[in-house]
Amino acid sequence: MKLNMIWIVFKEGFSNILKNKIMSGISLMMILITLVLAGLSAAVVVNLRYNSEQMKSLPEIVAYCDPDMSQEEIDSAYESIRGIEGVTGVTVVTKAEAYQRAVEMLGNDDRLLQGFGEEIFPVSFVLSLEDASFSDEISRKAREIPGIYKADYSQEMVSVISKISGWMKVVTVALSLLLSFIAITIISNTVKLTVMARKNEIAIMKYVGATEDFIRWPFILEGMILGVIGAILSIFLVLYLYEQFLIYYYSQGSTFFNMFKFVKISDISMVLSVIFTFFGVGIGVFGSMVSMSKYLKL
Amino acid sequence: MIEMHNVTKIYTNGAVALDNVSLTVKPGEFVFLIGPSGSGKSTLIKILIREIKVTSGDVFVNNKDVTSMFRSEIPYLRRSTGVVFQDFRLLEKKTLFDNVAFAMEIIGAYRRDIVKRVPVVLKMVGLEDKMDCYPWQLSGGEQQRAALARAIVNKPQLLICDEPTGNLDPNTSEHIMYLLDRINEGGTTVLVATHDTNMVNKMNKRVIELSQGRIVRDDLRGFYKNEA
Repeated sequence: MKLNMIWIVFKEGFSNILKNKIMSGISLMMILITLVLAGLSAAVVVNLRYNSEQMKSLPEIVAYCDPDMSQEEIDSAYESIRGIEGVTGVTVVTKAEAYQRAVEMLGNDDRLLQGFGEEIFPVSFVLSLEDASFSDEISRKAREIPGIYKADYSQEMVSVISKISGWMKVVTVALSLLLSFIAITIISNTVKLTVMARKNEIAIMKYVGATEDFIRWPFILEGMILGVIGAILSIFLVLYLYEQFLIYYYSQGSTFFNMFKFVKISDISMVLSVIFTFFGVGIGVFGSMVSMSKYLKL
Repeated sequence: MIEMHNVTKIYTNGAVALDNVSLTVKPGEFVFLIGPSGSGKSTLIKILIREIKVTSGDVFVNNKDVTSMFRSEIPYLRRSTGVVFQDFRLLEKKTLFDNVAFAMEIIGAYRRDIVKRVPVVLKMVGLEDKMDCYPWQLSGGEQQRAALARAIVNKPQLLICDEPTGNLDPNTSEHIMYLLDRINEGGTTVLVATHDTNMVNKMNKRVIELSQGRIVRDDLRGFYKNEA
């Protein structure tokens, strides 16, 4: 195709959108809804995976002493724990420190601690490990030490988050596919209606010798333009919603969920933009092509 | 220019539109195709621009075999053949200039050539003052002249007109025929399917008469009726 014909195809593609404002608007809305919903569920998956990875990479075990243990017994337990193979360091968290951490963690909700003192918190040992893969064995050995009633590591949480993350991934993919299918169907019908409304125009184009490509490309371009506009709008919308959520979340102070860390906007904006643009253009072009192949024969 | 050998066209409902038709039109000829409704005139025109395929027989237009032509070749056949219809078929959302320019744009003509050629052709059909008008702002005769301008803007070797004066008054029809004659004098082969008795009798050109899908008369200098 010659350069001047490419220019004409672009001109026709743009003017088609403006001439068919309602249909273009419906297609655009569909792309927007598809991408925003897919984008939000993708954001959930990304954050779940991020936290799951974070927890996996923390080679720590927390061993809790019986609250009634004497200082001598605590010292003895401390020595025993230090002696476990694979433990590189042990930090003692005293009752006072545990109380202080709880106050910080509860933040605005610290009234929950009213009436209680540090005595309700056990002394605990935070074990640094050489290798996280030995967490299970070291945790078992720590529980065998007299006075240690519990030795947790993040594996349980990691496994729960991994499970949720796995499900969310399936849901996101299924949701994206379903919404894409709906968007493609609507866009394809929009183009079909446009083609039918412009039947005479297309017939005239054929009579004066326009090639199939020359007739088809403005429609495909129309889908492409709608896809790009839909992608740009949805990127801004998703990032705006995500930002608003983060502002709300962090403004709530320390809560139980504060242990959950969120991926920064700057870390996801680029990936999201690329994926959305490809996805949006893909939906637009595919929707156009489906109806063009059906309704445009010379 | 046009060669048809034993062409038969039977539609899927069994109607025989053309029955073993053979004809030759030489370059530069002016030919009227006449006959009552349903005689096969429109079918013959549709075959020449490959809107439909023949059931049997051979068709050559500008030395190109239309019957065995690939789909991708059809636009190029139509570019070498200007077509004018009874209902003008102009693009409603484009001005006259843009309607005529569009025929040049689709063949990849450069803007500078379009800007030069379109006014010349519009002047030729007497519409140089209406360039910026939309089709709905024009009379039937003016719209048909615009359609004619579009059909000849790419200098086709063959101009096919299907009832070009069907919707026009006698004076306007005469003007259209005058224009067709001038185009023919310029070397373009012209084939006109018509019911316009006056025009056919006045022009005194070759007349091919179809009846029930067969050629029943082919006069080198003919009239609408044999007895005329």
